[in-house]
Amino acid sequence: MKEFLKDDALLIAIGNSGRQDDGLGWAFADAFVGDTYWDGRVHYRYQLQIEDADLIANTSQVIFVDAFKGELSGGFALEKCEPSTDFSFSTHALAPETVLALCRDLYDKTPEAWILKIQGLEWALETGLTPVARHNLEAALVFFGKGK
Amino acid sequence: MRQKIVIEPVTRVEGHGKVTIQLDEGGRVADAFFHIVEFRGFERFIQGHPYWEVPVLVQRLCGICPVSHHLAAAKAIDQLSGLDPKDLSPTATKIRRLLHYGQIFQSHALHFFYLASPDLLFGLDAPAARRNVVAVALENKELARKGILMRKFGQEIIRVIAGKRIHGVAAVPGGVYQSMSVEDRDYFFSGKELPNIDTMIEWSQEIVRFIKDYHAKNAPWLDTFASYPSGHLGMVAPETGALELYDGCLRAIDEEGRLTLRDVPPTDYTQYFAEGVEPWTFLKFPYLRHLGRKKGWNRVGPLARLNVCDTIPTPLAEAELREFRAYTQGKPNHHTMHFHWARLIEILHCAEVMKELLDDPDIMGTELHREGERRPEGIGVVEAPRGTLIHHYKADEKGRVTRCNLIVSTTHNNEPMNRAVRWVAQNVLDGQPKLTDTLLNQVEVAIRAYDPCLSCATHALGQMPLQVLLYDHEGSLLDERIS
Repeated sequence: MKEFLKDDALLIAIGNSGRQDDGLGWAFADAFVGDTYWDGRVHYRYQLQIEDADLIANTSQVIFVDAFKGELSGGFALEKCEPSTDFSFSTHALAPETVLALCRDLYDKTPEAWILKIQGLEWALETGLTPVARHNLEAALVFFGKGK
Repeated sequence: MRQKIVIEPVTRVEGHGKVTIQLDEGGRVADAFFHIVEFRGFERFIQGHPYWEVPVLVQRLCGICPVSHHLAAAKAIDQLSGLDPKDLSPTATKIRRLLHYGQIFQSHALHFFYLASPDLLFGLDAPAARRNVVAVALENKELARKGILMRKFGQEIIRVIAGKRIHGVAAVPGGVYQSMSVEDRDYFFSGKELPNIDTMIEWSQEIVRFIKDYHAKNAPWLDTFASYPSGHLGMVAPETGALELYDGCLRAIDEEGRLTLRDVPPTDYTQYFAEGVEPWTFLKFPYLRHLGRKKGWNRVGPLARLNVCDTIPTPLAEAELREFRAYTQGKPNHHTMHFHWARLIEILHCAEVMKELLDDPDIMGTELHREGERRPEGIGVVEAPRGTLIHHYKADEKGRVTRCNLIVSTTHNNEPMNRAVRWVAQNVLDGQPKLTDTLLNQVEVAIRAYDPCLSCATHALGQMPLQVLLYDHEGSLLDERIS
């Protein structure tokens, strides 16, 4: 999967390492910071916001990485992200699809976008991933050629 | 039969909430409650940690206002380190102020452009699919682009000072981690990579004009919707009584504008405030002790701040304050929808203050922090975007936190938001046979005006539908809707 990431790809990791497995997105991104085979950029986000539409307008590929609450075969899933105005959020946060739609509507640009979901288990006020989340993280990293 | 209508969670507010509206046997509104359903538990989580870690740890409370928590905690930790706000170096104080005003600027911009503008631009009757920021972007591209860039400007202030936009490290016990370089400062003046600070002031003036025009056309709605008399609480500068967001004294007024809290030091808050509890919500109800639980609650946030202050210490925002005050003939403004107007005047004020600070050579100074003699207790108070924010810590001789008490802005606004929901229920829902999207949205519009932050710390993909539940008086589910 090393070939999957374009040189100018943007990796946007969403999460909160202070909420157990909600830190999965950031933990995934950590493996790519200072990477020797990939020159793309890594951004950490607590939530996606409106200005992220401006950020992704200047890239050809973006991968959103976030924890997933629910069942995923193999512990993670990489899915194509399409612009959508279907609002499924309940906070100030935007969904990746909405950021993409904003980017399209405001800047007339639609970068190739993917969502990497990594299954988590626990979401309490604690630092550190659960063993299940670590296992799923490792599987996702192996898929991207970064596993141990 | 007595019915109970539940709206859960409330969309476009920070975190999860639930609104319960109880109908009596005749289908009339008997009562209404705004519940906070997520228990944060942060005050216990922080216990046992070294006090110097607190300003970093508390940022985990919120993805929208981590800087406010960071600075309130830092002010408290300064005291644990033996320093009061006046003891910090000018560089440290001004860097923190710049960070704080940048935070409020970006937070207010986000609220207005992303959360409030759909309500204002498309109205209460617009279909849910249209009441969102993408629709704003489609139909008002210039407004949406400006909103994004204003938000970005504030975020860039935070990034440059704290190292990153969220959960960076700006404040350390007794000061700041770093000051600004000449290049950093010039970045905000040049306009090469980002519209510059003068543009921010200009755009802030534009959106204040926008809200005033909007008011002129929609006064009957804005002057009555969820409007009710209340007390107001906020921070002001000692002696001048001017609007102050970073460090000052606490002032409260009653519904007639009479002082109920006369410019007291924030560190004395426990003498003046108590917190009530109710069995139906995790969120407490702060009130002024001497007035009691029923009469002592106050609104906080932009509307309250503009009600309690005497002046605004920047010229453009001060002129707007005069106009704002004149609208209610100098009386306290109790109109919930005027929060938006007040918020935009504060945006203008923040832009003016940011320019003053960016122009001040002290922000590039070298004296970053000072040291004092350890104390066992610290109390830090700031005016966060949503209102008065109090952090209170005690630490043992080894520096471990033994007690933490937080009164966040949304807690102060707990009773006010309940009043607003009750107003909508009684004035809009009352007598209606069933919930409609328009009616549901009006409940949300009333809550959104306060820009509540209920707890947003977990947000994993795939778990956030809008659920509407209808119960009878015995708790049996009568109906359910999921958006």
